[in-house]
Amino acid sequence: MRWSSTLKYICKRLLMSIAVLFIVTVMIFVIVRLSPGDPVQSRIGPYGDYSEENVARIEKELGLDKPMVVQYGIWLKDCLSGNLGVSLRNGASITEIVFDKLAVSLELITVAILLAILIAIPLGIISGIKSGSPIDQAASVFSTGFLAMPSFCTGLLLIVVFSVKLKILPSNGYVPFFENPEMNIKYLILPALTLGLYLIAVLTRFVRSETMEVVSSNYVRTARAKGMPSGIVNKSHILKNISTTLVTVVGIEFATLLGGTVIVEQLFGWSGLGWYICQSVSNRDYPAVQGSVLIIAVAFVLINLLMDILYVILDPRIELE
Amino acid sequence: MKKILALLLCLVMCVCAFAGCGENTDSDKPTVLTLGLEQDIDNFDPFTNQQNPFVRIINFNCYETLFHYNEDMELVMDLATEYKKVDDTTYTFKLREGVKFHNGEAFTADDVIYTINTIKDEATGAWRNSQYANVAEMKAIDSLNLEIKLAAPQAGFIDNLAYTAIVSKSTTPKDLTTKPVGTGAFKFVSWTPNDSIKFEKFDEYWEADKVNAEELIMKVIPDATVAVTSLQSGTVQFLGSVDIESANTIANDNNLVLLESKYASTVYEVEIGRHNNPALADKDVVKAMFLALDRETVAKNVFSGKASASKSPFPSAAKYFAEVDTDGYDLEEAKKVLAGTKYKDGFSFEVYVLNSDMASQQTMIIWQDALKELGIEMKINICEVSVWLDAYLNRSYDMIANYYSMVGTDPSTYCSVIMTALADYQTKDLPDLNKLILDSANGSDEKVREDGYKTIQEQIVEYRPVASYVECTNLNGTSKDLSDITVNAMGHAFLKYASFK
Amino acid sequence: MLKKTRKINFVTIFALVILTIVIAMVLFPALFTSYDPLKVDMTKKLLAPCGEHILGTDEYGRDIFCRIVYGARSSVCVGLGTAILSALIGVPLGLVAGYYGGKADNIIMRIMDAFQSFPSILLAILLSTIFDTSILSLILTISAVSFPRFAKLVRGNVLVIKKQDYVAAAKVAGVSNSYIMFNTILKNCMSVVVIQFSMLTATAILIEAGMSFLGLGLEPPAPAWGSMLFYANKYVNSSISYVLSPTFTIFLVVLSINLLGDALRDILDPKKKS
Repeated sequence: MRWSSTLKYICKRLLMSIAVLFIVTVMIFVIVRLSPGDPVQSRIGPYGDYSEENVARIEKELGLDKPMVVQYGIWLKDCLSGNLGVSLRNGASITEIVFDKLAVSLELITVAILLAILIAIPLGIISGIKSGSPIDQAASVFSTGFLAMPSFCTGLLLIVVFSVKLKILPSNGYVPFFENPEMNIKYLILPALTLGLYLIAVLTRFVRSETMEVVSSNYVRTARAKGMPSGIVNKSHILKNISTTLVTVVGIEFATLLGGTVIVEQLFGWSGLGWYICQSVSNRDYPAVQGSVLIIAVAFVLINLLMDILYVILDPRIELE
Repeated sequence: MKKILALLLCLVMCVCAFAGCGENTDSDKPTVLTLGLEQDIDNFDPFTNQQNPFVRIINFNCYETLFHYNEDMELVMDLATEYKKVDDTTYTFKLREGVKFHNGEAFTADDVIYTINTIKDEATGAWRNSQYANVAEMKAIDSLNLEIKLAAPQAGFIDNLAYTAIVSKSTTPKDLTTKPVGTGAFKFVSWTPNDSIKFEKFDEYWEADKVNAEELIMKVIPDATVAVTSLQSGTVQFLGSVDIESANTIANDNNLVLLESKYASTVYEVEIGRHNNPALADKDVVKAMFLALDRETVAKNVFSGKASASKSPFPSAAKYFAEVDTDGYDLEEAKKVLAGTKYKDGFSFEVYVLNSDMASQQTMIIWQDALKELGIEMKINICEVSVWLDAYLNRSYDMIANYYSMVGTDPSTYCSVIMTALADYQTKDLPDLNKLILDSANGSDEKVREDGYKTIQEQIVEYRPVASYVECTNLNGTSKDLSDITVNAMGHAFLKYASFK
Repeated sequence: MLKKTRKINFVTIFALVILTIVIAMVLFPALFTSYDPLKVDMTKKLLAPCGEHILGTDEYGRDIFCRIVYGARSSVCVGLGTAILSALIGVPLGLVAGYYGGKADNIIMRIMDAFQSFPSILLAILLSTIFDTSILSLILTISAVSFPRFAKLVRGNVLVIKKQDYVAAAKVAGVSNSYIMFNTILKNCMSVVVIQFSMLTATAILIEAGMSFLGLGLEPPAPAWGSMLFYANKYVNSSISYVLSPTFTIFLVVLSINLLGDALRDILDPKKKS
């Protein structure tokens, strides 16, 4: 009974999400075309041939000569058949590029988030339990420090220390994991650490504050009064109570980073989705922007669904719907 | 608690272990030459691509030209072995024997004819289209001898050929978009957008025995600071056309070498949209504004002494260069000149600056501060490339900051690319400039050309539709272990002889 | 126990002092320095800290301390403005979505998804063509991509809190829904709101630098901490004080907001009273 209702809920959510995706695609379709600059100009370049015939020829070649509604219709039809179109820059298949870049971004973000969770949970819990202690204060300064430091500073610092001075890690590049796992990991360490340090800062603060709340709440006091050893109280209660916030924060960060790690990607030559969107926007490569935003929107929808399901698993009192 | 600490320690150790095993990276293999590109390219189509990495590097190393300019601005023969100017309008070329394209085909005179015909074809949309409009007739005398007849004398014709990559007659521009086929020392292998472009040594290259690098990898590194740290860490071994701050870092690093071109070839300028702002249509106002720009200070501080104040719209290494711009920095004089115009109480205007162009941004901030003294308000609009390009092409700006690299030594190409576009909409103000440019470009009498270009330079300095303020050298960085890379003043890099220590 | 309270108070006072100074910088910058933040003097380019220029000078020979003081206005406005605007929109949305659940939840959260999946760079470029660049347009742009974070965080928390006994009790007692939402539940979500608020303040100050680069930021030569840091980065080899000054300033301000937030939460925390 419970499973069937869960399934029903998931189906309903996904149906609703299709509407969202539709709205997002329409909005993005219109907005990229409203922005100043156009792909014909980036194609012809500053010193190219702007004769009417050439401009018309390129517009036709890029499919921009048709009315906007028709263009959208064609794009939507292609999308439904799994084809995100071709790049206006070079005719490359966007479906292929976007999924390649998505895999690259996913690897980096997943490792960074895992790193952050592994460090932030213990660190946050310790500072929460012993709030005001030197450990807590050190953690607080550390996390504020990495919040105040933009990722290009953190990243550059790591490059200077590990690549230029110590010469133990490569500063820039990417190799797919299945091609060369060892190099892939070497290339991964610095960018993952850069992102990870920021995420540790974010997560530690949330974990600490949630822990403090749990510690000061009645049921922990009751449990202690009943003579439960403090270790057991800590583990079961605290972890359970911080889990909802943790799921939310990790979910939000994960989804945001998917398209938002431009700076770290560029710093370390880790060419992912964020960089690709940024470049497509600046070239006004309409189909590339549309395709990648669509993929990110899908990711948001799925991650949010997963978050809601996780809430229920972690805290059975919460119901779906 | 202890467990948590233990876990933390483990993690730290893991990271260190990974770090420890990072001793040899694949770029340490001595036969792989890795270089950094400041941006990814859009395609490999030599007819339409104007992006710096393409024009400066791929055009000469994957593709090849009949001949090129070396660092002393002398012509060096590549696909041609000899050329003769028979008369004012006729040229003959002797082509190199035994040259092959990457697809295995032999290089012949027909390929040169095909290349020029493709450029001339309107449907290609080639950006050098107008420079070949004058070609009247091409004839292959035999497979390695070629004759080209022009409709009228054209001084920059040989210069144009020095940048024109020759393609195989069996390829179309569309084929070349994603898979370049040239005759260059490096053959295309793969391209990962926003990441890297890989080439390998072309074994059938006509000078293959002198090519040391087995592989050529171009890595896209958009951030200048990161590019330099990559050079320092050995991830890349060559950076072409770097900015000033990077050049300073390279010069101060004992493991790196700064390659500076012999001639100053890049001219930094602003272009004035006179029709958009009445104040800027007044040549005295513009004169006053330029008197307030301390070009010596800009050259010394913004360009760290790698530049000098422009004396002409042309770079000083250009043919027919004349010292016509003698105005120095004089704020008092500027105030006096401005007082004599309608705009003595000041006005405001906007300047578009490309976000990646740090040198222009800094110059504008210095200029902005000086103009405040004259009561002129300059608004600096830093914008991303599409917005900049849109303003530039639609001429919807009051003023736009730009820079221009010399193309050969003959000023005709410079004029035809930038000046005609500008003069087009200014014919009312500058009636004879357009005609002068055309006459001087196509004239065959040296004296006429010299006088013509002198007048052009004087006119430009008087009205400043294009106002150049400094000219600077081309700067490149290499690692100390790498030698025999040559870069000419235009920033064209020739990598085939690169050798590793 | 008494000792601990005092300690908190000391830290809170430290935070208050810092923020008071910053507010004074925003209101009366001229009290702190006699230099002109815009005056270019290339003869004094990139000076190290000295008696005359306590934090040195930047690449145009402008006094760095002076630019930090004058930059407070735009940076603090952008940072706090964004955080306040995002919280004002995001928190109620999250409360409503979490509390009522069902359709309201679904609709609100799907709209949040749509907002968040939008690339902020595109939004920035578009808004820059509609608005003249100003502090207000910066706040609007950054808020547009940030407020869903508040909504999602608050909603996640509400889902848990609304199942607690005291909420059920309040409902049985006939307390109105809006009172339960904006009083009982909000108080219990306060800790996440405060943390997100202080984090967003820091992020917004830094995002301003990126926006300047796209043409939506403050027009140069206007001083702002984020863009100072952005440009200083280029001179990390030649002038370390230039990079450290804005970093440390942002650090101090964010730390103070965090500390103050913690104190505020302790005051508001309903559990502490018992």
